[in-house]
Amino acid sequence: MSTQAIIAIGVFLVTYAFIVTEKIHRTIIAMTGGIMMVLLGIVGQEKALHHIDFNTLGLLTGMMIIVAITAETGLFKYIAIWAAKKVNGDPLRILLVLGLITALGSAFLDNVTTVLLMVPVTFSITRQLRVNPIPFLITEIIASNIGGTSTLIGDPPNIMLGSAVKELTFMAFINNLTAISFFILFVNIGILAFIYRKQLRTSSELKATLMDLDEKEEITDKTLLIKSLIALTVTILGFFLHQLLHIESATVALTGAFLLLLLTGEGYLDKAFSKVEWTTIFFFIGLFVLVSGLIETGVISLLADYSVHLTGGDVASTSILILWVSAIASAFIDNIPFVATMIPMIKDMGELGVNNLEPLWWSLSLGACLGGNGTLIGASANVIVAGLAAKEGHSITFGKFLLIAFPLMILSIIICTIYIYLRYLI
Amino acid sequence: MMKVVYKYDANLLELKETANGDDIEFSIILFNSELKKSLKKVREFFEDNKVITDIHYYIHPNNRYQVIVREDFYNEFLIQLFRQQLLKEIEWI
Repeated sequence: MSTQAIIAIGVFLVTYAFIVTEKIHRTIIAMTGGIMMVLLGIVGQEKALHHIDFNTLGLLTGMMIIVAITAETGLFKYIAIWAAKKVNGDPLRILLVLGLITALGSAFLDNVTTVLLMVPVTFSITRQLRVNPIPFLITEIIASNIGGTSTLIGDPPNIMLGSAVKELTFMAFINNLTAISFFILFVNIGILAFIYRKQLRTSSELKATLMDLDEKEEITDKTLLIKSLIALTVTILGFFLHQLLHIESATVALTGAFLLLLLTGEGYLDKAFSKVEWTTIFFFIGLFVLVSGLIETGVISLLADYSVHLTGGDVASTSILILWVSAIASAFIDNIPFVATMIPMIKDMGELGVNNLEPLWWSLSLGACLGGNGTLIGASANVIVAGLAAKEGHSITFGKFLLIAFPLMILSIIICTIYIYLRYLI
Repeated sequence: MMKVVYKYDANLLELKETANGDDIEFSIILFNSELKKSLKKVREFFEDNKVITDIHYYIHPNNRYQVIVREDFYNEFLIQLFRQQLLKEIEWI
C-alpha cells in the first residue's frame, strides 16, 4: 500500500470519526476532509471536481426549491386534516393514515422535509384530541425512512445510487423497491398501532371538534397551489419518463423547480433559495471529494478485493452481507458517507468477477435506508423529530426509541433478506 | 402574577377564553370576513418562530376559530391580537 493510500485512509477515518461523534457540524467536517485530500496532493483539484456528483446535488436542490414553495400553500396541512377527518377523528386510525401520508411524502420528497411538514400538524391534531403525540412521531420517523426507501428520489442513498449506476433508473427503483417497502411499512405501522393502541383513545366530543375543522381554509394561496401542483406533476411525470427521454433525474428536478419559479415570478426566488439546505449540499460535496481520495489511491479496490475474497465472489452471500452490514452500520452512523464509500466498492467487485451486481445494489439501498430506523441517530429525520419533540416538552429518548425501533428494523431486514433471496438469488 | 384585562369591538368579533388543561383556549368568531387577514397574520407570527406548540390554530366553518395557547405564550398572543387591531385595549392590573 502506498504512502498516499495510508494518508488517504488516515484523513478518511479522522473525518468519519468526527462525523460520528457530531462534535462539529458534519458539513464543516466533510468539507475539511475533502479539502485535506486536495491539499495533501492525494487528488488534484480537477480530479476532485470530476468526482463530485452534480446529478445528486441538482436533484436535491431542485426538489428543495419545489417543496419550499409548495409548503407555502398549506397543501400539507390540508391533506393531514382531510385524512384525519376521513377516519372520523379516531386516533388509532389517524396514526395509520399519518404514517401512510409520511411514507408517501418521503417517497417523493426529502425525509427531513417531510417530517418537518408533518410534525407541526401532528402536534396540532394530537393536541386537539388530547392524545400523546409520541406514538405518532415515532410512527412518522419510521414511516419516513421506509417511504424514502421506495423510490430513487426518496432518500439520499437512493439518489446517490441512481446517479452512480445508469441501470438504476426511477422506474427500476419503482419495480424493485416500492412494493417491498410498502409491505414493510404496513408490517411496521401495524405493529406500532398494536403497541400503542391503549394510548390512542379520546372522547367523542373531541372527535366531533376535529370533525368540524374546515380543512379547505388551510389552503392559503389557491393560485400558488395550482402552480405548485403543475410543477409537481411535471416533475413526477418527468421522473417516470426520464429514462425514455434520456435525461438525468437532476434535469427533471431542476426543470420542475425553475418551471415553478417561472410561474410564480421572482418574488419567490429569494425565499425558495433561502430554504435550500446548502449545508446538506456542501456535506455531499465534501464527501464526494473525501471518497475520491480512497478511490484514486486504490483503497476502495483493495476493500472490494478483500470482500470478494471473503465471500468467494458468491453473489448470494455478498448480497446478504451487504444488506446486513449496511443496516447495522446505518443504524449507528450516517448512511450517506457509508453509501458514498460502498458505491465504488461494489463497482470494483463487478470488475473483480462478481457477475450480477443488481442484488448487491438493492441490498445496499434497502440496508442503508431501512437501517436508519434502528436508532435515534440512524437518520436525519429521526434526529430532527426527536429534537423538535424534546423542545416541545415531549422527550423521545435514545433508549425509548431503540426499544421499539431496533426490533422493527431487524424485522424489516429479515423481510428484505427473504425478498432479496427469493427475487434475485434463486 | 398580574391579571390581564382586554377589550374588543363586539360588533366585529366575539372572543371567549376558557382553560383547556394547562393551556388557554380562545374561541373566536369573526363577524366581518375582512378580519380573517388580521387573524391569519397572528397565526403567521407564531408559525414563523421556531416553537411548534406555542399556539394551535384550528379553522372551523363560518368564520369560527379555535386557538389553543400555551400558558407561556398567553401574553404574546394577546399582544399579537392587539397588534393586528383585533383587540382595542389590553391592561395588566
